[in-house]
Amino acid sequence: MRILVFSETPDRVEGALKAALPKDADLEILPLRGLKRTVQKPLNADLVYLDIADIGEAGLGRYASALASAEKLPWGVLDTAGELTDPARAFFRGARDYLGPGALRAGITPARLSEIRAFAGLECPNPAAPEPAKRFPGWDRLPEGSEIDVRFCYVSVGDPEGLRERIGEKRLRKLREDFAGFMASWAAECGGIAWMRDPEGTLLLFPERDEGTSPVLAAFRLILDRALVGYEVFRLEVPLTFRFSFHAGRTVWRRPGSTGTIVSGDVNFIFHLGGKYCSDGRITLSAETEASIPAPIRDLFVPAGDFEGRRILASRKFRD
Amino acid sequence: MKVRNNLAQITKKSLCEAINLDMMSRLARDVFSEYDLHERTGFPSTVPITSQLAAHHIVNDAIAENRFLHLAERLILLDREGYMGRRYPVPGLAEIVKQIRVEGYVWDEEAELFMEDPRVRRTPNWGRLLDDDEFRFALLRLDVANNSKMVQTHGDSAMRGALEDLRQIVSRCVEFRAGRIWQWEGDGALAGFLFGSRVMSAVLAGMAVLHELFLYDRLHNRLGEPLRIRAAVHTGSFRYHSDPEMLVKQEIVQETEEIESRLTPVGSLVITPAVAPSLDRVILERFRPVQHFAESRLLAYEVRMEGT
Repeated sequence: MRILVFSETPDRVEGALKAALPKDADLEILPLRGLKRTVQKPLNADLVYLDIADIGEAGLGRYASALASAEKLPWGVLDTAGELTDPARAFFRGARDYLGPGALRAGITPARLSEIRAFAGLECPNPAAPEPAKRFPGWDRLPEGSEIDVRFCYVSVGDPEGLRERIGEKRLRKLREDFAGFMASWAAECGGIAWMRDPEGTLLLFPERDEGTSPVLAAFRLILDRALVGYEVFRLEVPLTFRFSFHAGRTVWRRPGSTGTIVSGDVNFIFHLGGKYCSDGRITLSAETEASIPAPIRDLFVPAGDFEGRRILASRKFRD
Repeated sequence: MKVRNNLAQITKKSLCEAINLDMMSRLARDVFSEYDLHERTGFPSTVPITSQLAAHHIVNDAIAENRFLHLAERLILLDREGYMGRRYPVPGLAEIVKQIRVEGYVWDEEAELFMEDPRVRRTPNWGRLLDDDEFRFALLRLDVANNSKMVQTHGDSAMRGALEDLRQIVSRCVEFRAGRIWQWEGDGALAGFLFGSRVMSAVLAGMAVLHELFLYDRLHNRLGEPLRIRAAVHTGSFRYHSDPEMLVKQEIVQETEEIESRLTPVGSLVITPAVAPSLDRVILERFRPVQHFAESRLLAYEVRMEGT
């Protein structure tokens, strides 16, 4: 059991909760001031408590909406001194538990955790909720010729003209070969596959939803690490950067190497976006893939106009 | 390092076949300071010593004093470079290297030294340094900025978690580049680099830590404010000690700490003038002069985004 508590007075809370928690429970106490930012990130916890000592009911109102935004993570109120005159108000604001002095004496058991999760609708499936998305079956299991919904990613090395000038045509060709191999492994780590290539870049496919590592986050990391990757992976004595473009849409599935001619507006679009619109050191996305940007880096993407009738976003650029 | 009998015998044979007694004495003095064959063998200086006996003693002494790798390294260099313009091919050298590899050590071409195979184990002395061994090292020193204030603000529990995360990040970045963390005290770390392009490795490790922290602050940091560090890379000769207290007393380590704590802007990696000449231009160009201390000739790297 992993419990997260947001509190202004960590030492007092630690003392009060240690006695109430099972021995194997993992307790982490974080400052209240970071609450809003923290709950936006994926949290490895079973329950979150808001300590209302020092903030009272007014504080409850201030933080309730942020706590409610943490998906699939029930939250409750910790009220060690019994300050709340009307605990039901916490539930009106979305809380799923109230730990007053009485409950603390009884202790927080795994059974209570189950009850809280059931109350939050997390352990009993809600019939009104939409069916969960089907898990991606894997590239090997896709029937040849079937229509699939995927995310496309076109990636190429940046500043090809500058590179040609500095390292020559032959080495640039070799670099692109090596880069394509590198990107194929990179895509596989994010559940993707290298699908086809053109002279400049590689078209990768990813399942509609993240299967493990987010490809947009991984692309962002690669751009951040461009100096290290250029030097340590590709042994280049000149600067290297990348261009990433993402778009989501439909295509006919054919295995890499035997794609032949694919007729798909979305495939055409991603080649155009990657080849004509994306610039060095940026990730460019169509509005269809906006949801693929992980929330913690969402503010690093800005509107980048329209392209072929679609709204485009682009990552801000790292300065060299 | 454990030296099996077979490896010892091959080395003795190679020594005898490759060089004469006089060269053996020279070689031994490279491995042990003030090595005297007569004193070691117990023969008076008037009594001649056979090559076989000399080789037997040198190899056995190297094993007993944990200097066998040093001896093997000298043999490799003798085979490659000769001595005073004369070539000394060492028969059986390939077999010696092969057997050392079996024991979990690999030859590092840049440093021209054996180091432990990182796939087998990772120890602070790379499985081979002895106290007082003097080499040119590159040092990476880093420290959390405003740590005391952050502990006051966020409490012990939250800061402990954040520092453990930082420790893991630093270990990954340093050990990936064959460096070793020698000291982790409170909120600061000292890492040493000896193998490969040691200066480049230290600088790249420092840059990688800053990159990882940029993402950590957004993805995993629960403090509500960025975990910011100061980092510095310096290079020079000093004596290795397994005791971190002895290590940090040495002048070059103190200089590195001083630069990190007094002259490094928060959120930056600073390199000293001794480091810059060893960097490839493509990496050096990422660094800019430290503006507040222009006369120090320090250069700094930081992660910067447009619009910030």
